[in-house]
Amino acid sequence: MIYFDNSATSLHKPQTVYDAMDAAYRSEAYGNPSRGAYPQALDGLRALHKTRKKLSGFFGTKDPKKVALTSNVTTALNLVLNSILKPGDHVITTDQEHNSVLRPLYRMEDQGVSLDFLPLDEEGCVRISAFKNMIGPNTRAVVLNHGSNVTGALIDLREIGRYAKERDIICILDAAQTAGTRVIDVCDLGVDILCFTGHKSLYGPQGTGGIIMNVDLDSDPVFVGGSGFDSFNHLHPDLMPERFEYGTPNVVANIGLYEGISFIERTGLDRIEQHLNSLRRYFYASVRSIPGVRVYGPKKGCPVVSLNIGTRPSGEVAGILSDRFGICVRSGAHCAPRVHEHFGTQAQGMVRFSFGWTNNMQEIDRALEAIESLI
Amino acid sequence: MEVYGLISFQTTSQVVSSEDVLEDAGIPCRLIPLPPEIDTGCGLVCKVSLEDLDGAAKVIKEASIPYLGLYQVTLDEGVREVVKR
Repeated sequence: MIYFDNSATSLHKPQTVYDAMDAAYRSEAYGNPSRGAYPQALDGLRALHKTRKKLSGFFGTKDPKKVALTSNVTTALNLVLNSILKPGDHVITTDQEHNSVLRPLYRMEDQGVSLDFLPLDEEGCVRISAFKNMIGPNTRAVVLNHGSNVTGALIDLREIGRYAKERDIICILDAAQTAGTRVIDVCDLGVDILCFTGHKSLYGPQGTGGIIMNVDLDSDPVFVGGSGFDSFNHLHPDLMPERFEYGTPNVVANIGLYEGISFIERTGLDRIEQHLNSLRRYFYASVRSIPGVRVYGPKKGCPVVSLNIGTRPSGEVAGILSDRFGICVRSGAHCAPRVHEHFGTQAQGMVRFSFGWTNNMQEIDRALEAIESLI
Repeated sequence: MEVYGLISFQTTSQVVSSEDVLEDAGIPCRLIPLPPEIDTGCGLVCKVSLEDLDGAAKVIKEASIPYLGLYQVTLDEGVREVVKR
């Protein structure tokens, strides 16, 4: 089996992730955090703090209080968008967005939030030059997909981040596809709020993710309930990280996430980025030279390449790659409808190859051979 | 008779963050339940020696962790006296 669906989830985790989670469960050492002062409850609390501290260093905030742990990036984005946007606010976003941004925003549009979309150019890159002209007096936030889950196109953040900061516009970054594939320093990039998932390129388990809140904001909590303290208050705590955390968290999964990031740090993020870039560059250049293959997206990007073979439905191609060659890829619309509308692939979809640390050039050669055989 | 210091916080994440920075600073700290004499807090407090109380408060403040109060606790033959500093 060759696994090229790392944008969906990284199937192969570091051994230390498995070992730590297995040991954490079997030790019966982690109780419910914030729900007691006995050792097991305290160790649950300490385990979450350790993961927050690791994430705060990894994303450049250096302050664990700015990290809220959620169950995935969709939850993180919903919590952020629903807690800070109000009817009458204007939001600038992009045609590159995933439905985890689009659907919360579309729903808010029905409630009086106005939206503008930065368009894509011919290659599928966001035209950031349109940003300044879209800003209005009520522009509250700009929501940006850091790397497309369809084309791999990366957005140039620095200019938007700097410009947004000058105008008190909140810069929100969806780093679902980029966290763990390149250095992301929220302070350096001018990002106010970063939403990430833990189970893709951070090599943690599914059910992990979070919010890096690099700004002080008034917000209304979306979910309220048990926080483990201040029980007689009718209101949920409006402090980080509790503002975005409610109920019993998944301690063991977050222990796994800690180990996933530790693996990246041991391996070296630069080294991982170079490896992923090499795989992408080789696949992109090689597959484009196969007659009948159309590749979407720019030459450089995060480790995602999507294509089609002639007019064959993407699902049919993905099915053959799986059944005949044991190659796992994703087909269809990839939850990013505006990208497909841009390229006119609503019906055909796209066949997506996405790479991870454990992939190698030999696997890419086998994929290229498989694609050539389908022409 | 036992005399020690307590530091109370609004949230449990502030308590555990404080424990972490105190450990880095070499100040021994235990997390214990909030005594009923202290009317505000998250249910957990940092217990430190009385000699370390001011130093611990300084370390916590420098780490930008807000705390609610500092207390001196005297335990004498089962009777506990809690005085806010």
